[in-house]
Amino acid sequence: MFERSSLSPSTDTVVPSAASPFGDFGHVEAALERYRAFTAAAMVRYLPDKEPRRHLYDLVADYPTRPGKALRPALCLATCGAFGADIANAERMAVTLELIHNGFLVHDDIEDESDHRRGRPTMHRLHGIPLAVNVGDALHVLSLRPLMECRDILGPGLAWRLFCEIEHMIRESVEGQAMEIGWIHDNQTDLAPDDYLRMTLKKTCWYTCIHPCRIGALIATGGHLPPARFDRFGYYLGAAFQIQDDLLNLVGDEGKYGKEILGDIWEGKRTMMLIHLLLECDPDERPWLVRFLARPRTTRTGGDVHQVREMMDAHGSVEFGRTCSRYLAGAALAEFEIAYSTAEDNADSRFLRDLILYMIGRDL
Amino acid sequence: MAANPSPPRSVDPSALIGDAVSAAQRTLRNLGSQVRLPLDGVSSATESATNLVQRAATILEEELAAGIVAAQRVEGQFIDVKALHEPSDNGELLVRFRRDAHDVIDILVDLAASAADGLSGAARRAIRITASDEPRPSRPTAGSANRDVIASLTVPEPVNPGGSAAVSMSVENDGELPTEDFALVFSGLVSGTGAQIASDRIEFTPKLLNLPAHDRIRVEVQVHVPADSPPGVYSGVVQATKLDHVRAVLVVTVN
Repeated sequence: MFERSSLSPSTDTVVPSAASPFGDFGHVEAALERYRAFTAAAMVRYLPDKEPRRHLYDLVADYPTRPGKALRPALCLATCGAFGADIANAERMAVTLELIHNGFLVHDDIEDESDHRRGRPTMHRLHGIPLAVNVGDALHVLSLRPLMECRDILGPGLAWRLFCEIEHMIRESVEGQAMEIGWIHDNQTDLAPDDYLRMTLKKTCWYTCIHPCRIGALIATGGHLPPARFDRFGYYLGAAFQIQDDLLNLVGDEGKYGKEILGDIWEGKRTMMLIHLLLECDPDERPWLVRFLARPRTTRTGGDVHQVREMMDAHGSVEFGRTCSRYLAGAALAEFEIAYSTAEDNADSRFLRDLILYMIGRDL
Repeated sequence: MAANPSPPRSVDPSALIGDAVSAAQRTLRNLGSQVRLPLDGVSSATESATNLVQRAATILEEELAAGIVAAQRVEGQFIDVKALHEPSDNGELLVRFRRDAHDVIDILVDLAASAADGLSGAARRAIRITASDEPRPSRPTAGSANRDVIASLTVPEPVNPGGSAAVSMSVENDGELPTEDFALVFSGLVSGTGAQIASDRIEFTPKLLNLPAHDRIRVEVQVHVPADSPPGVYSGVVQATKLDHVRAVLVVTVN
C-alpha cells in the first residue's frame, strides 16, 4: 500500500551525475527535480484515496512516485515560465502530461516484456498483466480531470485548444508505437534511418517534447503564440533524447539506468543502431542477424544478444547513433534560439537551453 | 523558483552545429519521401548524420501536412457546436497558421446570394480560402445563408519597420461550377493606437483569380511595412470582389 506522503516533494532526488562530456549539468538536474516535485505535489489531488485500493489505487501511485526525470512536465512548466507566466498556470497540464506518460510506461513495459522500470520490477512483473493493463488505463483516465479543470481556470477557448493538443499527442504516440511494434511483429529488417525518424517523431517526440512545449507556450500567452514554432525544436530534442536513451540501453550503467542493459536487443527493438547494423553488416553476417530477429524473445540466448552487441561495435553502429544524437541536439540548439526568441531571459529559459546538451550527455 | 547561475561551459555548443543546422532550416519541400539516407558508400558517419537532420525536417513537414488535413476533417465536426454555445470563441478556432505551402484558411460561402450578383446560374457552390491550421466550418444550411465565417490570416513572426513578410493562402473551389474572374482587394491595416498602413502596401500574387470547379489556387500575400510604422498589432480585411462573403482578416505585428 502506498503512503500518500510519498507524493509530496520527495527526498528521493535524482542523484547528480558526474560531469557529462558537455560540462557540468548539476543545475539542470536540480531544476528537473524542482519541476518534478512541483508536479508531484499537485498530482496527489488527482489520485483517489478510496476503494478499490489493493488492486487499483494503491498500484496507480507506483510509477508516478518512482525516481524519474519528469521531463514532460518540466518542458511544459519551463516553457510557460520562459514566456513570463506563473508556472502555476500550467500545473494541471503538467499533471495531465505526467499521468498520461506513466500510463504509457505501464503498457510499454508489458508490450516490451520488460522486467525492470526505474530500478524496480515492472508493474506486470509485480502484479500480473491483467491488473497492470487496468492500472495503465486508470492512469490515462485520471489524466482527464486536471485537463477538464483547465476550462474554469484558463477559459473554455484555451482549454479546448489544450484538449486538442492532448488528443493529437496521444493519437500520434499510439500510431508510432504501432509502427515500432509492427516492425518487430513482422520481423521488418529492411528499414532506413528515415523510417526510424518518422516512427520516433510519432511515438516519442510529439508527447515527450513537442506538445509539452506547445502547451506551456499556449498557457503562458493565452493562446496567442503560434505553437507550431516549437515543432522543430521539440522534434530534434525528442529524437536526440530517444537515440540517447537507446544508446544507454547498450552502454549504460544498469544501476543508474534503471532498466536491463541490452534489453532492446533482447526485444529486437529497431533502434537507430540496429537499423544501421542491418544496413552495414557483412553479407555473410546478415542472414544470422535476420534469423536472430525472427526468433521469439524466449528462444534468444545471452550469447546471441552479446554477439549482436559486438557487431554493433564492429560496424560503428554505436558511434553512428552517438553522432546522430549530437547532430540532432545541435539542430535543437539552433531551433531553440528561434522558438524561444521572444522568451524572457530567466531561469526557465536557461534551463531549457541547457537541457539540450544535458539530454545527450546524460548517463541515466 | 530561484534563478540559476549560468554554468561554466567546457564545450562550445556552436561547435556541434555545422552545415546540418543550416540544411535543416531550409525548405525541403522537394525532397521525395522515398529518398533514403545514403549510408552505402558514405565515407563518414558525419555526412550521414548531416543528411539525417535534413531528412528529419522533411519528415516533420510531411507528417504535419498529413495531420493538419486529417485534423480539419475532425475539427469541422465541432464547429457548429462551438458556434452555438460560445459564439465569442469562434475566432479562437481559427488558429495555428503556418508559413508554408500547407497554410489554408476556410471560408465557406453560400453562393445562393452571390448567384444573384451575376455569377453564372449556380444554385449553390463553395469557394474557400483555406489555411492548413484552420478548422473547416460546416456548410451553412438553407436557413443560414447570411451567416459569415471570417477567417484569420496572421503573419506568424513580427515584422520590423521597413521590412516585409509573406504568407500563403489557398483559394479553393469545391463547387460544381467554375467561378468568374475575381480579385482580392484589401482595406489597409490599422493598429490599436490608430496607426495605419495603406492598402497599397499589401500585394496579392496572382492578382486576378479564376477557379475551375474542384480546383484550388495558391495566393501569396506580401506585406511591406513602412519604415516609419509605429509598433503594434495591425489588422485589416481581405475581400474578394464579386463575392461579398469571401473575406479574411489579416493580422500583422510590427516590432
